[in-house]
Order: sequence, then structure tokens, then C-alpha cells
Amino acid sequence: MTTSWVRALVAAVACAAVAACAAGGARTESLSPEGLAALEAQRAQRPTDPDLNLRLARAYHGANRFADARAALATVLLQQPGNRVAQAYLGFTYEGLEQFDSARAVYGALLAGRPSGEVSRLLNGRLALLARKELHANARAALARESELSRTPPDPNTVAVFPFRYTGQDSSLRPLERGLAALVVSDLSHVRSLRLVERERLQALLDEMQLATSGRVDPATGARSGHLVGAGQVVQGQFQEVPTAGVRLDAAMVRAADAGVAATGSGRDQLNLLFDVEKSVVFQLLAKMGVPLTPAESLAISERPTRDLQAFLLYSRGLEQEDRGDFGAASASFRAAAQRDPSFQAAAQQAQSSDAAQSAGGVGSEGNLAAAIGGGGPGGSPAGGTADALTLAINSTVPSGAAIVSGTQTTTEINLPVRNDPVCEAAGCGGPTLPPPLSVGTIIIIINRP
Amino acid sequence: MRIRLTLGVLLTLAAPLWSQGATALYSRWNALTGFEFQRYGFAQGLVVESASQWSLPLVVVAPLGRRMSLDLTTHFAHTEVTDSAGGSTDYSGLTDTQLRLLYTVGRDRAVASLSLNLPTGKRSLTTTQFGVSSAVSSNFLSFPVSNLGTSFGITGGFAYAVPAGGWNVGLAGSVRYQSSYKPLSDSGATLSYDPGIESRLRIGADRVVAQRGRLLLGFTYSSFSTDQFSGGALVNGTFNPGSRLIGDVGYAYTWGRTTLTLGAWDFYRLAGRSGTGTGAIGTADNNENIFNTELRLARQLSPRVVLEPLVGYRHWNLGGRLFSVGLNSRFGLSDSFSGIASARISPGSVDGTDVTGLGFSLLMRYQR
Repeated sequence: MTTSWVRALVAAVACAAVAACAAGGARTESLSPEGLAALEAQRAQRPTDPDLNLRLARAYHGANRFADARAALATVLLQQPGNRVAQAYLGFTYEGLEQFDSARAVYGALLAGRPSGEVSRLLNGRLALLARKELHANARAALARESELSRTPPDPNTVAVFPFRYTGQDSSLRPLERGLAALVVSDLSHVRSLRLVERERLQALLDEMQLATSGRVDPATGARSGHLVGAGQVVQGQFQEVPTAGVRLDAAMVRAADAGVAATGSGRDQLNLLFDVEKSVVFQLLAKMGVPLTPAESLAISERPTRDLQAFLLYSRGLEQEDRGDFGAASASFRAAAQRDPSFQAAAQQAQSSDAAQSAGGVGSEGNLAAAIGGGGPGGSPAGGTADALTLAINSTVPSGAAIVSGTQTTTEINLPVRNDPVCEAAGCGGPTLPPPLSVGTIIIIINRP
Repeated sequence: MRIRLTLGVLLTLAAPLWSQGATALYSRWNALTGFEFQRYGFAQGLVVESASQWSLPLVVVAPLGRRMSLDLTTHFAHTEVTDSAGGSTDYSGLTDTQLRLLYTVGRDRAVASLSLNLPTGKRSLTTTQFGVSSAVSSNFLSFPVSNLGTSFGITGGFAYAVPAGGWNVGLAGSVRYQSSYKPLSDSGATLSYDPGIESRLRIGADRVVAQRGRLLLGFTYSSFSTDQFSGGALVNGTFNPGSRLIGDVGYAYTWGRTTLTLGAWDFYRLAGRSGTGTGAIGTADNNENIFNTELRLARQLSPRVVLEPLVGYRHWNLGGRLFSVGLNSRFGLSDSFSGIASARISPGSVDGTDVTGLGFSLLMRYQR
């Protein structure tokens, strides 16, 4: 008896040791068409099984079969409305279907559930990515409807700001193209009578029009872009370095209706006074357009986001990197800007946003978000993958009723024989065909008599 | 009582943990119960006229944190055997309870298991009741509950799965220890039985075939160390149950809402060996081979209803065969509840005597 215990203990320890050695951690596996077919075959057997449908939805999502993924997720959520992993994948799927409002609603609902800080950060990053995708989709849609939009007069009080064109030779200053545009947008947004088109929205349109790097910032292009984004007026400008370490900035307010120039502004000063030059140009434009400013609006426009030109340059570089979709680099640039000037709030905010977008948008990020939200994991049980093989293996060697309950027993649902009562076996029980079992005790006794 | 209280506390603790992310093999709450009935009636010629059993299974699966799950399996069963003379013998009661803990070592890759057999069932029977146990112990007839209770047991297991080419391969092993117990309560009350250690190994593999089909193969090997029994000065001996080998194969092919499944297994049991107190060793007459195959055709009638007619055949090398015709139905009742209803009739013969099997079950499943 003692020996048996020792043997069992040794065996259990050995099992544990093997288990520890084999620890592999989570791993994402790509899904093959065969794997997908295997999952579909399983679902045909268990069409309402939420686990199976969730796995299938992930597989469909991975294969860009978003409509199929949505249908599978509907089955899951019909049975488990609170399944947050399914909700997360529904959001991803809506993104794939370019149903951005629906995706935003799903992420919003998840955020409303007061998730942990990490989940919240990832969801906000996802929303940032979603906004970017939506901007590009809207830009494509606007271009597709250009003839219709060009006949619709845009709102004259809506203003879009083009990236400023750098015409100088010092490539290190080129990122200021985005930074200055962002600054002008920020300044004009303080004027209550104006509505500003987000810098990112116009940038997405320019990207789709493939004008971002072509240098075409003529009034006709501005007017066309204004129609496409619904802006009655478009700010276009350029800047360059001038002798004795100075900078010159020129800007024009172009009417989208007729591509005419409604106002111009210009300034020139030392590079370290760039913000003064920019403010001067903004005030000139507003004055020439006849936009009255309240003292509060004037004061707000006069405020500098930072007085550190190097920090602003880093911030501008971050904007450029963000526009390229390089959120990791953008985050680093924004962080560097915020470190140089801790009072530079826009840089700190953008660093946080880019960092979240990077986490939420990298390779395997959807799986990471799903895992963080509720345990779905990166692809979870891969289609036709090892999950079923593992389940069947453990259930065959350590039997349990869980094999039936879970519904993942095996595709063929084979019930294998198990060992019956050991005493009965020893006594030669063989079912009703053998002599009456009353003899069992006798059998044992007879066997052991000399 | 103490065990049940501890279990209740564990399950209660599991609840808040469930909401967290999980890599456990079973990451959600599940429960199953229902009613199962199985009866075999024998034509004249055998001492036993019929053997029947109804049972109420209870299975609960609870996630326990991110990596673990705990499951519990038990039955309440009633078994009755009638003889050709008009007499009948029966017993009822709770069976032993299996409590299994699974720990995920690597998601979808490796899982370790610790299972306890809690002796909640009646394990000491009268020799008359023991006869009932004998009647339902046949591997060939395969009753859902083959005995009420044995003794405390502990099983350690480990499974590992890995993709290999187009295959998913699962490997597993387990070791089971069971403590000694007294199986008889009347004339053999002094008999003490000490089961040996059981070791199990399994290798299984599955893959997709022809896009819509899935093939599964498996092989399980069980070996046993020697059981020992003693009953004072009169009874003393050993029994080696003999190794078992089980091969299984399954193929499922799906088109549209229909799935055709062909499954088969073969159970081969080597002869055991009995030893006496004097050291004499004899071969037990328990070598057997059972082959079982089944063909099923599942059709999804609606999003929540699947009907599955089936036919089957089972062959026993010691003189038995059964043909089966049946119908399974799986249906969803609500977001959390679903059911499985099955009925089957199995005519055949055993030892040249006609036998008719009848079985039906209704199982309800809860999941959240």
C-alpha cells in the first residue's frame, strides 16, 4: 500500500515536471483553408455552439471573410450577449466591412463596461485607428462622388487647412509642413464663427488624391479639396528659410466656390520666432476676411503650444510619421517632444494616442485585445488546430463527463470503453451471459485455496 | 459532507474569476443533467432475463482562474436484473464522484490534469447485489454506469498537442492510483481489494481531408500493475487485469447543412493473470475483442435543431453481435439551455441467444 502511494506520487511528480518543461505559452497560428473547412465541418454538427462559432468567426476574420464572421458572431451573441471577446471581434469585423459607426458603437459599449486600464488603452487605440480608417474611407467615397459634391456649395464658414509646403533646402524643417498646419487649425478653431476640418481628414483626402507629396498646392487643388471635404474656404501656404537664419511664411485663404483668393497673409522673422510669424499670418488672414474676434478669441489664438522650437519640430515629425501609419515612431517623436517641454500638452496627448494605436494596430494586435478583454486570445483555438486534439487526448486518458458537456468531445463522438469495477473483473464478471454473479465471492475463494 | 462543502466553496470562488481572460481548456461554466435508460432483454436460455438501468448524470464544469478548470462528474443510478425464474435483484444509489482539475500549461498545446475519484458511491455490496454489478459490467453491452463505487483514487495526467504537417497530433499519458477497499458486505466482508496502478497512453491525430472532411485516428494503451486481495487467513491472491488496446477512427464529411459521420473503434483486452497465495499463476479467461462501428447522418433543420439518424454494428469475439438503429436530436431551447435526445434499438445475439437492446436518453445542457 505504501509502495503504491510512493509510485503514484513519483508518477504525479514526473507528470508535473514534464508539464513544466513543456510550457509553451500562448502562440498565434495562422489559419489554413483546410483548417477553416474543418471548423465549418464541426459547426455543421453543432451549429449553435458558441465556442465553435467564435473560433470560426476568428478564422473568417483572419481570412477577410467579414460577412461570414459577422454571421458567426451573431450566433455567439444571440446565445451569449455578454461575451466580450465576441463583441471585440464584432468590432474588428465591422471595421473590415467598413461599417465604422457600428464598430465605434461596439468599442464604445466595451469602454462603457469600465474595463481595466490596459483594455481601455487598447480600445482607445483601436478607436484612433478606426478614425484613421474612416477618414480614408470617407475620402475615397468623396472622390467617388466628386461630380455630385462639386455641384454642392460647401459651407463658407467651414475652413480646411492644407499642409504648408516647404520650399527650402533644409530637409530637417520639412516636418513643419504638418506642424504648421496643425497649429493653424488649432488657432482657427478658437474662432467661434468658423468650423474647422480636422487636419487628419484633409490629410487622408490628400493621401487618397495622391497629392500629399506632389507639391500641388495651387488654388484649383485647394478649391477641389474644399468641395470634397465640405469646406467653403481652404488655407494654403508655404514657408522657407531666408538669409540670416530667418524664416518666411506665406498663406492664402482660397474660396472653394471659385478658387479665388479671399485673403493672404505673410510674415518673416528669425526661425526661433516661428510661432510669432505663424500667429501674425493667422491674424492677417482673419482680418482680411473680416472675421471679428473677441478679446478671448484673440488671446486664445495668441497662446503658444510650446516655446521650444525643437520640441515643436519633434512634434511635427510625429505628425508626419503618424500620417504614414508609423505609430511606433510617431509615439517616440511625440514623447521626445513632451520630454523637451513638459508643458507641451498636445505632444503628450499625441504620444499617448499613438502609443495606444501602435499597441492596437500591430501584428496580432486584435488577438491581444481580445485576450485582454476576455480571454479569447490571438486566434484562440486555431481552426482545425490543436485544441480538439488536446481535448480528446486528455479526455481519453483522464476521463470526465466534461467531454460530453463541452460538446468538443470529438468529431465522431466515439465513446470508448473504460475499465469497469476492478473487483468484478477479477471475479470474472462478463455480463449476463456468465453464470449468476452470486459466485463471485466463491470464485475468489476457490482461486486462492491451495 | 465535508467534501461537498469544500467543493461548494471552490465553485463559488470560481465565479468572479470566470469573467477574466482565460486560456483554460474549458473556460466557461457548463452543466449537464438528464435521464438515461438502457435495457437488454434476453431470450430463453440464459439465467438472466433482462438487465436494465436508468441513471441521472450530473456534470458541472467550472473555470477556475485563467488557466484552470474544475469539473465534477457523478450519477445516481438504478440497476435491476431479472432472472428467468421471475426473480429480480436491484440496487440504487449515487456513484463515485470524479473531480478533475485541468491546468493549461500552454494554450491549445499542453494541459496537466489531476483527478480524484471520491468514494461517494456504495462500494460494499452483498453478493446478490454484486451479481447485478456483474450483469452490467460487460464491455460488450456497455451500460452507462458499470458500478456504483470503488475507493478513493487519484489520477495524474498530461496531454500535449502539436501540429505536424497537415495533422494535429495529440499525445497524452496518465497514471492512476486507487486505494484498497472492501467490496463485499456480507459473506465476504473480510475481503480487502487493493487495485494496482493503471497507466494510460494515447496518441491521436486529426486532419482535414478533401476540404470538407475530417479524419481522426487514435490509439490508446492501458496497462495495469497487479491487484492484490486478501481476506485474512483464508483468502489471499493477486490479479493482473491484462493490458488493453483501443484503436479508434472517425471520418466526418459535411456538405451544406448535412454531415455524414463514420466512426469505429476496436477494443482488445489481453488475458489477465491470477495468482494464489501459494504462488501459483493462472491465466484469466478474460481475453476479448470488441469492434464497434456507427454511421450517422446529421441534418440541420433549423438554426437550433439538428436531427441525426444512425445505424451501428457491434461485434464481440466471444460470441456476440448487435445491430443498432437510432435517432439523435440536438436542440437549443434558449440562449443558455440546449438538449440532446436520443433513442436506439439494438437487436442481436449473445452466446447464440437473441438479445434486444433498448436505450433512450434526454440530456439538458446549461452553458454560460
